Amino acid sequence: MSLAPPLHPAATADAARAAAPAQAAGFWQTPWRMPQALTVVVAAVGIGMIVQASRPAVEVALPPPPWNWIGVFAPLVLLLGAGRLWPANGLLASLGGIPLAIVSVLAMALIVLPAAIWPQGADAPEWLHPFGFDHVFSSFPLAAATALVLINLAVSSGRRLQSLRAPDVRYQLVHVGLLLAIGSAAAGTASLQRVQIPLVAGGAAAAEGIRGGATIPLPFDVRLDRFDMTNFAPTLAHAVRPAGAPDADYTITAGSTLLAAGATDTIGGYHVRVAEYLPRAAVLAGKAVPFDHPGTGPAALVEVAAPRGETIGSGWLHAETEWGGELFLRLPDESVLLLARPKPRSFHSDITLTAAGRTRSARVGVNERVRVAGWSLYQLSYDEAAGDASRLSVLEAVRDPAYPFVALGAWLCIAGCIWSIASAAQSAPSRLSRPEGRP
Amino acid sequence: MNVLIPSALWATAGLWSAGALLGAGEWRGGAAAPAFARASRLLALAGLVILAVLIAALWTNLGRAPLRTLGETRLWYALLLPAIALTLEWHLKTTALRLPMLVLGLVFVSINIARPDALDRTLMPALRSTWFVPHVVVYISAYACLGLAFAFSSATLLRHAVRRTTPAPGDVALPALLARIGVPFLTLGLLFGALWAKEAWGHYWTWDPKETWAFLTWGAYLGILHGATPARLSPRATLGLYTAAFAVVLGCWFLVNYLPAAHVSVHTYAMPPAGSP
Repeated sequence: MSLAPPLHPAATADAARAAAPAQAAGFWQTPWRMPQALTVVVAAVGIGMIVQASRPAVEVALPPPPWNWIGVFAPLVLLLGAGRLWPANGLLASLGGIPLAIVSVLAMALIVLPAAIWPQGADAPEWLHPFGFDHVFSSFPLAAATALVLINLAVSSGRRLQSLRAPDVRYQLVHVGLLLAIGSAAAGTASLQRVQIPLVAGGAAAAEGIRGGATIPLPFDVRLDRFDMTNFAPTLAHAVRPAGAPDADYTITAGSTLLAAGATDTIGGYHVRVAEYLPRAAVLAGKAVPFDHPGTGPAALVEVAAPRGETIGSGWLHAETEWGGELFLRLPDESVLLLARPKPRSFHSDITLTAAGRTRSARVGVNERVRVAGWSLYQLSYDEAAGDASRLSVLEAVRDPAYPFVALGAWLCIAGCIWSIASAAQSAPSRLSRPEGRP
Repeated sequence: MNVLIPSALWATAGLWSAGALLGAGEWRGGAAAPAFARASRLLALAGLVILAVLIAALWTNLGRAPLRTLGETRLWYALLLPAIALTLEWHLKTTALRLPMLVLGLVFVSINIARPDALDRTLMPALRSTWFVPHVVVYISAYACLGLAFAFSSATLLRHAVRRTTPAPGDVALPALLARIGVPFLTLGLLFGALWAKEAWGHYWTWDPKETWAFLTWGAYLGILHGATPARLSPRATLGLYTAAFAVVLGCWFLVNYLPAAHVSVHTYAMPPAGSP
C-alpha cells in the first residue's frame, strides 16, 4: 500500500513532469532535472556575482514608477499566461518545475546565510565585502536567485491553471499569493517613501519629514499635543556580576515587584524587607529623598538578611535618572541588589493632523498607526533618557503603494496554507501500515 | 508560582520519563505491550494536562501571554508536542510517535528545570498586539511538527542502524505528513509576522537576523517538502534530511540569540541583558 498521500504536491508535480514530453537531447533535455536546474541557478547567481564583483558597493535598485511595476510584473504575467497556454512545453515545464523551485530557493538561502550570522553594512567583517555579501539583501546574486524563484512561481501557477479541482485551487492560493506578495514587495521598494518627523509637545506643526539628512515635504501637517507614557511597576532585582567586570555589567537573576513599605520577599536566596518606598525620588548625598517630578523614578530602602537569617545590611536602591545616580547594595557573594528602571508599558503621541483643509485629532502608538493623505504614521521613538518626562516624539511616515497588493497576496497564501493543513490532516490515511518493527 | 512551576515541571518530567520507559517496553513487543501502550499514553496525557494548567496559571499570574521568553516558548513547545503527537496517534491509529515525542518533550522540560526563567510581568509595547499570540503559537506549532519529524526520523534511522536493516518507504510517511502540516504553519508564521510588522513598524520584512533565520528554516523545509519524493530520494536519505533540517529550526529559535548578528536584531528573546532587567 502506498503511504504517500495521493495529492502530495511533489508527487503530483512528478506526474506532470512525466506527462510533459521530453524535448531536446543531451544534457539540456527538458523538462530539467536537478543537474540542469542547478546549472541554470549557478549560472544566474554567478553572473550576479561577477556584476557585483565589478562594482562591489552598488546595490540593486528598481527604476521609479511605473517602470518598477512594469519591469517586475510584465514578464511574470507573460510567463503565467505562457504556462497556462502551453503547459506541456518542455522549457516552460522546466521553468515551472520542482527542480528549479528547490534549487533557486536553496540558492537564496545560501546567499543570505552569511547575513544570518554576521552583521551587514558598516559592521560587516571585511571578508564579506567581495561579491556584495556585506549588503547581501540588495545584491545582484540575491536578485538573480529571487528572479528565478518568481519566474518559477509564475510558470508553475500558469501550468496549474487548468482546472478548478480543489487541489489546484489550493495550489493557486498558496503560489499565486506568494507570487503577488513577493513580487509586489520587490516592485514596491522603488515607490516606497519613508521619512521621520521629530516633534516637540506644544511646538509648531511639521509639514516636512527627514530622510537621509534631506527634508521631504508632506501633504499634511502634524502637531504633537502631548506625549504620554506609562510604565510597569519597578522591579527589585538580584543580579550577578562577573569577576573583574565593571559595576554596570551585570545580569538579573531574579526579581520581585512587591514594592511597598513593609513588603518582604526572597530574592536570589536573600530575605529582603522594604522598609520605605518612594514612588518618585531624587538622590541627594547618596540617599533618596521624595521628589514628585516628571522624569524621577522610584527608590526603596531595603533591609537584607542572609538565607539563614543573619542581617547583612540595609540601604537605598534607586535606578539612575536625571535626578540621581544609581544606588545599589553589594552582597557578600559579590552579587548586587538593585532597583531596575521601570520598563515602558505603553507610549503614544496625541497629535493634531491637518490635511486637505480638514483637521482632526488622533493617537499614534506602537501597534497603533494612523493613516492620513495616503501615508501611515508610526510611533518610532522618544527621548528615552527623559522617560515619562519626554516632550520629544519621533514619528515615522510611510507611503507604500504596494501594500494593498502585498497584503492581498499574503492573505491568499494564508487561506491556502490553512486549507493545506486541513487537507493534510484529512487526507492522511486513517491507519498506517506497520513497517518492520513498528508498534 | 515559585513553587508551582518547578513542581509542575518535575512532575511532568517524572511522568514522561516513566512513559518513555513504558513506551520502550511497548516497542520491544511481547504480551505486555498493549498494557505498556495504554499506560504510556495515559502518562503522556497527564503531562500534557499539567503543562496546560501551568501555562494557564502563568498567563493569569503574569497578566500577559507567557510567550515572551525562551523559557516560556519552551513550555509551549513541550505542551504542543504531545498535543500534536497524541492527536495524530488517535487519528492514524499508530503509537509510533509517542516514544520520540516523550524523549523530545523530556529534553525541553529538563532544560526549563535546569534554566528556570525569572518571572517578569512586563511586556514591551512592541509585543502588545493581537498578532502576538497567533504569530508565536503558529510558529511553535510548526516547530513541534518538525521536531516530531526529527525525533521520529532519527529514532528510525537509529533503529535500522542497530538492526542493520534498510528503512522502508513506509518509514517516511509520518515525517512527510508532519512536514505537510508543519511547513504551512511555518508559512503562516512568516506571513503573520510580516503583516504584524507592517502594522507596527511600517516594514513587512527587514531581513533582521531572526527573520533571515526564519527564511532559512522555511527554505530548508520547503526544499524537503517538494524534493523528498520516492522518485528522487531513498527512504534513508529522506529520513536523514528530516533529521538534519531540525538543526535549522534550533538555529532560528536559539542559536540566533548568540551569533554576532544578534546585537542588531530586534527579535532576540528577552534574556536579561547586562545592566537591566
